[in-house]
Amino acid sequence: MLISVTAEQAQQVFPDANSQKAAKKLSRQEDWKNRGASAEQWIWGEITGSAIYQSAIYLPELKFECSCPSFKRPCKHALGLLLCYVEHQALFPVQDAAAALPERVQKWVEKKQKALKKADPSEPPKEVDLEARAKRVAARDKKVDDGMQSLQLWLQDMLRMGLAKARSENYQLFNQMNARLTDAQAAGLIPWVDALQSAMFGTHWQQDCLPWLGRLNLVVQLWQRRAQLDEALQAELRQVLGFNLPADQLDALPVVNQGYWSMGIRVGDLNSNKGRYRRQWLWQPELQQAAMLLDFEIGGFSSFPLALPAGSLQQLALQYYPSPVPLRARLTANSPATGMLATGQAPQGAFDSFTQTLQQHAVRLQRNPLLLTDFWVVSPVRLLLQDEQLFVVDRQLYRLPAICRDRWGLLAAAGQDECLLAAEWDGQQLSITSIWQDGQFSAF
Amino acid sequence: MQKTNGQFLHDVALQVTLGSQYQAASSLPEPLAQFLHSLPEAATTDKTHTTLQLLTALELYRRAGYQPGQLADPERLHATQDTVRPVVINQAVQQLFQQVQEPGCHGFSLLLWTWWLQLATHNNATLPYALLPEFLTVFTALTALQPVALKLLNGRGRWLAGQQAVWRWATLPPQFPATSDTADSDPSVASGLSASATSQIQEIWTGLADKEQLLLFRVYRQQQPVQASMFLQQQWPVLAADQREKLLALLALQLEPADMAFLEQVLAEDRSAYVRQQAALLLARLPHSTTFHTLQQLFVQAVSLDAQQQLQFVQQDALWQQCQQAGIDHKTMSIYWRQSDFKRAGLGQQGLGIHLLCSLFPLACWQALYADPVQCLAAIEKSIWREAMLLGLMHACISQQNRVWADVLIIHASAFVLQPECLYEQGELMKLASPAQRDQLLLGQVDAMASHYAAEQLQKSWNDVFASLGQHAQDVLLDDETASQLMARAEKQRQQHALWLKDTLLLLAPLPWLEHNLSRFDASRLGLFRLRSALIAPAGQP
Repeated sequence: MLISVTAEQAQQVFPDANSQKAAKKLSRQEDWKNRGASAEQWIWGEITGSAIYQSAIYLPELKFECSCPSFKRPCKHALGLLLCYVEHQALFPVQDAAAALPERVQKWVEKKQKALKKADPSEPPKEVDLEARAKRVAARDKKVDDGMQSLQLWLQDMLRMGLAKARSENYQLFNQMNARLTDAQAAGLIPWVDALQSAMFGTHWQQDCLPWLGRLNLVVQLWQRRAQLDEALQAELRQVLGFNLPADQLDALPVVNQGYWSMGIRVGDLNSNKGRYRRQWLWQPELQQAAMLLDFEIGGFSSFPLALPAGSLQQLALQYYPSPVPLRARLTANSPATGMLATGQAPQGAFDSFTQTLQQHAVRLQRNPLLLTDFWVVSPVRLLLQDEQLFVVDRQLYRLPAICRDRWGLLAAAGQDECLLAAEWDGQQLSITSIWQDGQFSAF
Repeated sequence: MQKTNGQFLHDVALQVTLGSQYQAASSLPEPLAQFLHSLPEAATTDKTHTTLQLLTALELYRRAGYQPGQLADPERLHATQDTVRPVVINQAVQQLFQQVQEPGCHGFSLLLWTWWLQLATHNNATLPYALLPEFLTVFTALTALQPVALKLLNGRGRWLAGQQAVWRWATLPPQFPATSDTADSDPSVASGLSASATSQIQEIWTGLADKEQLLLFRVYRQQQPVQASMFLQQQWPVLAADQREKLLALLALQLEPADMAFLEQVLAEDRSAYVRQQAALLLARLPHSTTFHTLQQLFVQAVSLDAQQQLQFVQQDALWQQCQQAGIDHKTMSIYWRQSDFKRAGLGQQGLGIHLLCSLFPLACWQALYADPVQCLAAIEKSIWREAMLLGLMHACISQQNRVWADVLIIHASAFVLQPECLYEQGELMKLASPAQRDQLLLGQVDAMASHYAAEQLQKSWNDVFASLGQHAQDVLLDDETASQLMARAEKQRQQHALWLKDTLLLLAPLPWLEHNLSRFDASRLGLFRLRSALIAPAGQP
């Protein structure tokens, strides 16, 4: 049986509005000839453009292939095929024998099979040279040590001369620091330095810069005292700095098998427009615990995998990254990708009030001072638009400022009636990802 | 902490802005002091280092100790419950909503939206919540369709519209409280019956901007003409001249003898010459009004036939004085037809006077001289004041909404009507003309379109005409003969005009004709045909 793709899931893979527009034009079922699908979750079809082009998609990863000469990947034909599949899944008959696959599609399938074979977890893992790894880690720590010293000096210089003076300097001041962090293999902090730079040129720059100066200093101080930190916080600190967990350590993380509600998605640009990141927020109702699946799309090299269907409860096997407050997680390879437990009903386990969520946030912050973004599910709440500022008001009439990418869509969906709200909290304001009202789920 | 230590935060921000050499006098809040004291290097004297530590502590304490504000005015949260839950409108209608917005439809968007609204109202649909923002944005720009659009909004939609100033029009009620059958025909009964209804409308009216008041009155007038007229009379003393003029013009919707007394009062008393002018034009449409009779008398004095049965115009100062006494101002009238300034510039002083008189005289007056409009036009063709009179008659036809004269003008004065300088008049006449005459006019203009300096405006003008006729789809559809002729012309025209013509055919040609000729259209434009087929049934009704 083929994996179903919803319009919202398909929406995630469009790199820009132009691609979406072009794909929509090519999504009519009558334009696609020789459509087919395989039991291995490939779909394909042919469309006539300047010539006849063959496109194919590997559904589990939304990996696109096309015979067109376009440099842009995924191309409009492959995206058009995806939209056609979203609308008319029944028109893609599953072919039984491998011989039925068109020649070109067969090649793509074989290429993918080879890649999957390489990454096959059932194969015995290569033996890890722990000694060499320890040496590599020590060498990197040394580089980060130097980078942190430079950062500390840079922060002190900035404070010594004053932000007003730093503001009058050109961008070189920040670019140099970013280059230094890259050299020091602590590129994870570049977005923080960029955020400081953005804050410095904002409307309320004097106030907005202070948190970022404090946060950067916190990282410096924690790194310099890392030996005194517990293992989980050390691991969190390393992730913040940009250390990747080795594959064997990732695989060794404990697996949690539970029902999770998929509560919405945030997509944003990576630094220097090199690609995009996607945060999928999940909610475990019994534990009142959030999980974040983080994916990246780097230009034409990799695209986002198929997102979980938003607004549904699914049984998932997750591995949480090590942290004093586990939040980031990854789906295990054998996690069931389909099979919803429930849909059309609101999730349980929501917090009752902002007093509760803020208290919980304070506790989590105490354990992990590096926590920048938390995720809450609160119910019942109402929305209020006051002097152009959006607020979320809980039952105790406490209100928090909020933003939403589609403010009017949100207000239309919620009105002034009570709803269940899922949102990111950054310490200043809520960023709303979805709401539930009368059994209706709306994502923004 | 954030509330109680505002001064402290200010001092820190000041210090960081100016540099650590500047030391703002401020005492540390207790939790921060304790935190800093607990740090290993608490005893350091490095001011910069201490400030950085302070900022870190501050950031953590601010986030951990965040205090939400409390809503002071809970009344704001009272939900406006929908009396009827939203019915998700037919999936196809919902898809059509998106399709009508696509770039290829823009030239015909007004017509397509008109059809879409009809289809949606015909299905007795309300909008699904997800479509509300787009719906409000689209119809904010299409003011002509707002009265119908109001009918599709549910309670949520009206609430949402109230959140943004440009959407305020959509907060207006689509329906006014019903009165008894006699109420609308007998003002005295109506006034007694509808006191509460009036106060309800008054309440809404007070908070509205000028544009919204116009919409409210337009809807009210369409539904309850007498009540609306009485309501306008109540508001009259506090309205600005500009608004008075626009509201008075709306009385043209369902103009009735019952409006006569009010219009005559306005003509006699209003301070604004423009408002008086508007009243005079409306009164010229009411055969029992004093103005109508005065204009008839003026017509007799001003227009006559000489021995050779040629039309003669007499313009004496006394004539204009009489006009003035009747409340009709020469200068104001001239400004009223300002859309035609370009055309009128060539008329000369006397010609201008004749144009104004002709535009004022009730068209029925011409029956005193000629048996029918055709004879009248034949005589005008021979007059030395032909241009002034024809333009005046076109304007009279427009202000008096006379369909018979519109048809006659289009047939017998087509050379004049089709002049490029008469773009405004053409558009207005086309809206009044019968389908057969309109098709003739369209064919005539298509021939000239390729060399028309204002071809684009002409196309736009036609698009507006189609839209205004689109409320009755059978009125706007072309016949087979016209469709074939237009197709033949389209195939000879330059690309830009041909594209518009073919799009017009895809939307307005009869379905059987189109089915035979679809292969003559570019495949990329067939979406428009599919859209039309979805919006209107073959019989011509949604």
